[in-house]
Amino acid sequence: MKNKFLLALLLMLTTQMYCQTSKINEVNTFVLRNSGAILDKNKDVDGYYFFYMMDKLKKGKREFAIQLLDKNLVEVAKKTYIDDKNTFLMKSSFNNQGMMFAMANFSKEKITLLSYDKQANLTGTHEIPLESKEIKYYQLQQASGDFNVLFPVEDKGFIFNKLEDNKKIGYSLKYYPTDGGKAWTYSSPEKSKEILSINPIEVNKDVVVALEFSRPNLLSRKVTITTIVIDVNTGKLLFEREYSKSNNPRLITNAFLNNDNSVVFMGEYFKNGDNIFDDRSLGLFTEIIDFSGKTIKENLITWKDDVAKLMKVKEVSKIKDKGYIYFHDIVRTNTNEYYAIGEYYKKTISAGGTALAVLGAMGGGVGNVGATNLTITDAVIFKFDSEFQLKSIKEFDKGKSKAPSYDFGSPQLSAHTMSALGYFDYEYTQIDKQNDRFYACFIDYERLKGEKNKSAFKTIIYDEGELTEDKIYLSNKDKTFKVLPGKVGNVLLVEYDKKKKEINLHLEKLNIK
Amino acid sequence: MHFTNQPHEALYYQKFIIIFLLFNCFFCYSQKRNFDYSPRNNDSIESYIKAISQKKIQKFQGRHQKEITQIIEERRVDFLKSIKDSTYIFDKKINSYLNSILRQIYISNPQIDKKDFYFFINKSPIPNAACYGNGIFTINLGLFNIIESDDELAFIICHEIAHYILEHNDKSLLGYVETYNSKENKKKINKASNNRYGRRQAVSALVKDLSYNFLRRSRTAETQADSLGFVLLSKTKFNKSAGIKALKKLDMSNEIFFATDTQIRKHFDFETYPFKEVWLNKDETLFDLKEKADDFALDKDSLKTHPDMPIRVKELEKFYSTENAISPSLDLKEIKNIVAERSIDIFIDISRIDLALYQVLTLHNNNQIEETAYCNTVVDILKKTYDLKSSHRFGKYVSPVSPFSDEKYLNEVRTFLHNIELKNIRKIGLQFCMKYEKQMAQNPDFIKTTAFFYKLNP
Repeated sequence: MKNKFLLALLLMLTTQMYCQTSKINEVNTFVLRNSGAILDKNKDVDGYYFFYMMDKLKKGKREFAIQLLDKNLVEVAKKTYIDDKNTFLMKSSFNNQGMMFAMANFSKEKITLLSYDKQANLTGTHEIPLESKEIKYYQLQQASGDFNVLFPVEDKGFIFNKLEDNKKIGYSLKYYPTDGGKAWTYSSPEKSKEILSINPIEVNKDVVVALEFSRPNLLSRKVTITTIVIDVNTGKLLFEREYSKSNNPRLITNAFLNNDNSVVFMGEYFKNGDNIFDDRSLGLFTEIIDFSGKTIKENLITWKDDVAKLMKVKEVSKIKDKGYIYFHDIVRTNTNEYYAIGEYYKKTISAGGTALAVLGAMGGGVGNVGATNLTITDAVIFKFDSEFQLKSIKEFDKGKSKAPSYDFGSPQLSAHTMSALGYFDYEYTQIDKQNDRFYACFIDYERLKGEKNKSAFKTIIYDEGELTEDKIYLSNKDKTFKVLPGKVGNVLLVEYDKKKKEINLHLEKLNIK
Repeated sequence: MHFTNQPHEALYYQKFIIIFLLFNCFFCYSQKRNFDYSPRNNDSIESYIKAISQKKIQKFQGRHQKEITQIIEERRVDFLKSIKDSTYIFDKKINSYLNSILRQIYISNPQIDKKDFYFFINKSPIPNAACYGNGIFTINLGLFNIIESDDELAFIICHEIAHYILEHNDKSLLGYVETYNSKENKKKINKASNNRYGRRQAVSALVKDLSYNFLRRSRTAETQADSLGFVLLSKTKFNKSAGIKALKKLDMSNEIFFATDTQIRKHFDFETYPFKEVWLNKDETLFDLKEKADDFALDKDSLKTHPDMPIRVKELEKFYSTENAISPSLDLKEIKNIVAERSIDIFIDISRIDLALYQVLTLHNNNQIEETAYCNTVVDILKKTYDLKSSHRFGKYVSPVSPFSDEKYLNEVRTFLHNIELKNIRKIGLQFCMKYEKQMAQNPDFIKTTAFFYKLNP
């Protein structure tokens, strides 16, 4: 999901009733540095933040304001913060006990963590110095999308994901408790010859589940994924499980913690020797591992046999007339059914791109840059029972969209790259644990015969065992709309009135038909 | 926002609450009627507003004429636009009642130069009245909900006329223009604005200072208008203690508005589809706060446009300390009836269905609404909620619940309306229709809405 909140609202201090002259107005027009939704791991919105530069102070300092809106768009706090001029709000997080903000200043080589309690009082600051190499990697990781730099542990604390300038680049997870518990740091080996990074994906009151990615160099596609489970109270490693190219290569899409001290990993599996980013998978898997690292159960769903019973599988992982499936997320319901959410894609030749490539080659250029597209079509959802047996596959019509693609070789690798760059139509999946629902959101480029093409925000909703759709068109005669994540079951509509030149923000419930 | 564009807000005090006071309304809501939002004599109103604006411009000959002319012109255009936007209602009965009060004030105070006066009725439910300083006065519909006697309304009108006589608007306008054009202030503004460092802080301090001076003047003006208003009222046969009573009531407003339990569960609990408590679930908040934590806010007390009510009451009590029991006239009873009756329609028209539902439920609980009107209004509200939610427009019209709001029972209604989903509304609508189907068998509106909900529940 593109976690960017594309609003550039310049708010004035509303209490200043008499700022009449243009000079005073000018001074009070504050510059919005960045803004965003405060999301939890289920993509439920806890609130929204806006980060403004308010005032220029001496010695390169600036006065900033962190404005916070609750999940219903009510402004609940506007806090002052003074720091160096290049500071930006990197990430904000809420854990029910308080908030934490990661304020980054790469020119001063530091990240400052600010903690606020439930009364909106600043309760602590943690300054984390950075090396220049670490900054470079932070910038690269941020550009690549969903990078969990700050992860909330509900009712317990926050985990900060720090990159480390070791022999090669490494990481450390720094835990800051908010419940009076003990702080800890879990670090990768300093002398590792591989580039190591980590992404926490699931947490409860006992453990943190994270995926460690290891590669020899930055551009290498030889990636080893290690699942790591850490005791959240002590920071001690409970177990790790490696999936390498030669040993059970697996692409993990999601993980779920069970109440019986076990964790379920889900994703696609490959044959030994295959590259998880380049090659076609053999199918989907679930693997349940207990906290000692022992596999309790494993289920495999093959394209060849299992999926082929329900769809025309042309060749391994390729569906007839449709192409490949890119799985964005796998959701587990409260009844332990699983739903894998994906989109069809195929590599297509771009006419314009071919011409450019020919011209490029004639001019001494190399290769077929820009000659291919990734064509994205319908959404597809695989339903599995609690034993991970494939029960049904449902397709949802969606207009064709094309992502400009460099030719990376395999369609799979192109798809991974396009996904990281946000070129798929998939936006995000929000999970409503309380009502046992999920909302998988896409952009749909509708192409109807005899009508002008229309874009819509399309949501596939799971409720009471059924999958239904809701749709919000993104423009009409007078207005354009942007749809952003909202509190669970809702979206935030940013409505722009073209005639009145007005922006109206309102939350709307997604409708279960 | 221009300070002088804000009319003096007599008897309305800062907190922006939309209110309904229903506990003293002895009326019965019967059938739907619509207010007229367009004046029959639109051309003559336009000419009148043009004439009074010209007159005001001519009054300010000399220094700062350009700025003042611009402000007056902007106000003229804004006011005409607000008429076109259906901000005002034109109702014979309300106007006739208002004129009867005005006549008595004018007869007893022949010195009042009333030839430019025009009283507009604003459809706003906020209890408020305003003097624009050019002869235009506005009385909000919400004011009729809280006054209990002709005397109280007479005091409020006298207070507004006092603002006109004392030329508070003109003084305020001139004060504003002179303040911002004074050499000293220009110098201060320039200095603060040109600060290389700490500009916002310097400008904030300056704004605070200037605001304080304006507001101090405004507070003085309110006290003066109370005094002169009291003098004008004293000459009439209206009860003099009405001013004290009106002020005290307004002071209590925050505690009494929306203090009536709508008993929402009772209205939407059906044998085959019981009320679900989750419909009233509140959202978790980021902070546990009673008010916004704002490091940039100016001192709120120093920014009140009106002095505290107890101080104003104390000042009035110097003139008249007895508080007599006053009962509403028959005319006022009828007006209050009309206002309460038609407010529901106004709210539905502007899609403020939270306010409409709050009012219809409380009226029903107090047996102040006919069963037919209650049934039709509730199903209308449910249908409108369904339509708005289907087209993803509900949140545009119905405010979210603020964690700082003390409008407990209105918030309960809002929470209910926000939380119910299409599938719930389909069932609630049908169950409600089925419950009243027999007794509404002859009502074509109800039959039509019932058919709508039957269709949604195949």
